[in-house]
Amino acid sequence: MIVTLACALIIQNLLLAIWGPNFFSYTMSSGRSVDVLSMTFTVAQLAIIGISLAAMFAIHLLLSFSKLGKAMRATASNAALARSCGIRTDRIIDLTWLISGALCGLSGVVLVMNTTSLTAGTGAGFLLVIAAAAIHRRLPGGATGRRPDHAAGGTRTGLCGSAMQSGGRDGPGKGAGRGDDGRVADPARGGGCVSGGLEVGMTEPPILEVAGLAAGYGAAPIVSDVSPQVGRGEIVSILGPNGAGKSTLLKALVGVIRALQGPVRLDGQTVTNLSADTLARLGLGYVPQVNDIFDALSVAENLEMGGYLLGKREFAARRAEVLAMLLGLQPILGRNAGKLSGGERKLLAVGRVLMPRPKILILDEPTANLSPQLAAILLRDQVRQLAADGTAVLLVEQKAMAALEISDRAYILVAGRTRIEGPAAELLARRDIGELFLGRSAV
Amino acid sequence: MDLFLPSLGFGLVTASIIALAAVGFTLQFGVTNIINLAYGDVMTASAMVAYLCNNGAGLNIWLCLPIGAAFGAAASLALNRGYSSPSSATGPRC
Repeated sequence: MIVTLACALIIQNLLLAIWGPNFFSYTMSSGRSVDVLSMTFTVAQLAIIGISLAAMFAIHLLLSFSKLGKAMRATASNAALARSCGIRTDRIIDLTWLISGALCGLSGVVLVMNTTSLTAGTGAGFLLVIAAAAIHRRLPGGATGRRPDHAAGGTRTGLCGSAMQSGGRDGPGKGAGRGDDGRVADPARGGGCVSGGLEVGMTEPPILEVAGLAAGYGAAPIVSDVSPQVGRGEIVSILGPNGAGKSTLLKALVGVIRALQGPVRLDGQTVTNLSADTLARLGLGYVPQVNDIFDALSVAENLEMGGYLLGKREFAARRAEVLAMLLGLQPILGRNAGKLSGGERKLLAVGRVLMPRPKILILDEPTANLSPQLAAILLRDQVRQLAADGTAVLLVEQKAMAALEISDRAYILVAGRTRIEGPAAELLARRDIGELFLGRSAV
Repeated sequence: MDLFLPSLGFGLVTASIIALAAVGFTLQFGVTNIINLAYGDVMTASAMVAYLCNNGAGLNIWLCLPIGAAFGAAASLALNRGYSSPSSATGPRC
């Protein structure tokens, strides 16, 4: 740091010695004067006023009406959500620095055009930051961006997931202490995964296929050997008590945190640890538990950001479809999303994520903070309708019984591992599962 | 009144310069949530580039405007790519 500072000061003094005297006594102003309503300006001063007004107007137009400007506002409002809409937030931030820098440079030049009173050195701080950046990049792990990790994909065999990949009805149980008849076995018999009828309703390759996934915050995994898969038009629930790792699992699937182990495949393509915006482009839609809409944008703009990847005509057609599907959105299109009620927010979050026609929809506790009536409407009407239209749905839900009622299959996570998996109807019939794994209140 | 109108004119010009700088500063802070303390330095460096182009290379003053703006844009982008983005990914190192 001291060396950096010394270097910057030396360079600054050199620049001052060479150009300083001329710079400080120099003016680029035009000598010609113009009288405007008895106020005397030079041509340069009039230009400065014009440039400033034009720049402010241009920025206002950019932010209010252009898709790019709305993406900038969406990034400012909720960058993680913007990425899950397919917005390349890194490029948006680059562009922001670029525009800001251009305005900054312009203001520096017009300052010199107007006056010679520049008193702030010759960019000593600027040089300082450049030098600091150079040093920073040489430090171990200094300039590490987050990159997709294709190598993380593979064919690792997990306790519960490998059998699902391999197919046959008699496959899942082998080697894990499970029955071959595909029925749900007694979880109390062992710590392994209990499986039942995994391939029910799956006549084609799954949209989402995970094998032995491990993920967590830092090196220690919160979830391990978890292997959910979801087929087209299927609703699959991930259930479990608080702290079981349900949300962590979803975050690893949607690219919010890194998967430590296990391939994740989306429609046959390995997507392990790809960024959220890439996953959105590949057809993954994600509704997080909280911060699921852009509060700073209107409802219509939220839908526009949801359809960020669509072309103009395609967007208009899809918007009409989504509004027809979610009738509650039409009357509130002009409202600020930050002022919506809990139910309206969730409706908008679902509408936003449906805009690009995702192949799979991942919902993290969609009924949280909703009244029982609204929760039932959302699960029984909206989510079921989505599955009926062919969208694969992966649902994490605390209201276990309500989730099981609409699901085709379910996985019950306990302490980061899959303890039970099987057809939802069979799990629903087992009253002891609620007591063992979900807490009595869930039953 | 003799003093009022010239003062108004002076104020308009000065406010225009400050507003131009402020729009860029607030735009960046609003979107990236980063307070760019090097903003004034980029501004000065851009002015310096424009001065060199005008006085050193003999370019027309109006041509120096976009050159200064382009330099500011490039310098800001370099700051983001070289320092801000890596720092936000790993935490500040220096």
